[in-house]
Amino acid sequence: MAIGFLFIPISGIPQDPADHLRHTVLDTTGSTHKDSLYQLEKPWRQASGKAFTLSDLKGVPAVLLMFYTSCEYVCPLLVADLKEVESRLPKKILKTIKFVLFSFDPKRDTPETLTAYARKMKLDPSRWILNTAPEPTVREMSLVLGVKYKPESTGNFSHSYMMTLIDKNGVIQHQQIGKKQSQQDFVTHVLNQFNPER
Amino acid sequence: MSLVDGGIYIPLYKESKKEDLPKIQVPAFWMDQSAVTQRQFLHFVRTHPAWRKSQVSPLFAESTYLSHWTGDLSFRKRDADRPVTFVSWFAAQAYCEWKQKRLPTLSEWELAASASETHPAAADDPAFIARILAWYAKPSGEEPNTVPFRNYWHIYDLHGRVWEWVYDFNSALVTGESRADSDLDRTQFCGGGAASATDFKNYGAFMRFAFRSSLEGKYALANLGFRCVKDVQPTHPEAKK
Repeated sequence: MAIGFLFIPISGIPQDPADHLRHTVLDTTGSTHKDSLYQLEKPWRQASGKAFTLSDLKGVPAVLLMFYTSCEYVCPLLVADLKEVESRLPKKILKTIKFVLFSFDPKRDTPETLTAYARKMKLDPSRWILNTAPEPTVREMSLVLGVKYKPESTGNFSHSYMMTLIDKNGVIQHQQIGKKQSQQDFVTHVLNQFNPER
Repeated sequence: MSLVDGGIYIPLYKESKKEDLPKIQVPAFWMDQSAVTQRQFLHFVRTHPAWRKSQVSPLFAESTYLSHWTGDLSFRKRDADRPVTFVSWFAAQAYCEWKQKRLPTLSEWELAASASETHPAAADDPAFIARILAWYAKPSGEEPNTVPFRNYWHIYDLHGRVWEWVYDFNSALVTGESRADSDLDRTQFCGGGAASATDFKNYGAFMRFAFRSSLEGKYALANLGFRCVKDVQPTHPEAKK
């Protein structure tokens, strides 16, 4: 991917992570980022109740997960893995980066449920954006991320174990499929996004 | 469109070994009688420039998208009424949305496709199954099979011409890799592939399952087309915006 990366310190990120970051970040190649996930236009709803689309992240690298809150087995591990990534990142990066979660479960994961979940899991609301949306929006997201999922008769979902890193232009830079012993590799990929030499 | 009565679709795989035969209740729905043709798709592309092959985003369609068309808005005349192929899931979904329809779910498609000419549920009819397999066995040349097959619902060529996209094709979790695809029943490990299957005779269903699980949403393949469906009641949860 021909993305000439300039490190542009982003200041003044509003506390509400979903506030539209209207400024445009130009890269050195002038590429138009044809693979950018910002092209997904269907809106999600955040825990706060506000609308969210990926293009709200313009200029900010982010990690994306698909999950659902009533998941008892794998999702807590997935979220825990991302929290481990979070714990290994320097403060400066934590000021910028976003962790964006998308629920498979529009029936049960209302904004209220997401809010309660974020509190229970101690997810910093300045950085973690939990979202819910109707099924076609979920399906579209799963297809661009390459996440498979299937509702079970119990109301639970089978789904892929997948963490996706997007750069500040919304282009996928790294995906981790399956549970790994250590998150160090993923952390390295995240750090690369903030490396001024890129 | 043709009305397909509601019915029970029995998924190819059980969720777990202990489970009884899984059943999915499928409400009645309307289904396009034929797969969307090149001519019909041209109309869509004409009015939606973002879906022209020179302009489509690589996020939504791979480079083979409409690669058999001679230009953005042209194809060989004799292909006009053949099913459009080389279309991605996103393109198919966008087309159906434009028509105020949607892609059929896997359950809906399989339910409709289990009808023979004379019976709505022919999945246990050996002659019907053998015929489907004979279609699959034929190499898919450039020219699709042109002998029409009209089933019980008066729907044409669900088998015999091209494969078709379904809305939730990515619900087939086949890796059996419990860390990659979570909550998976372990009966899908290599070698145990058919252990939790519900119908061992229906080899065609296995082929469709395998084919679907190999797809990605942006794929545009020579023998993969689509048709749309519509709810009988406009309040189907999956059709809600």
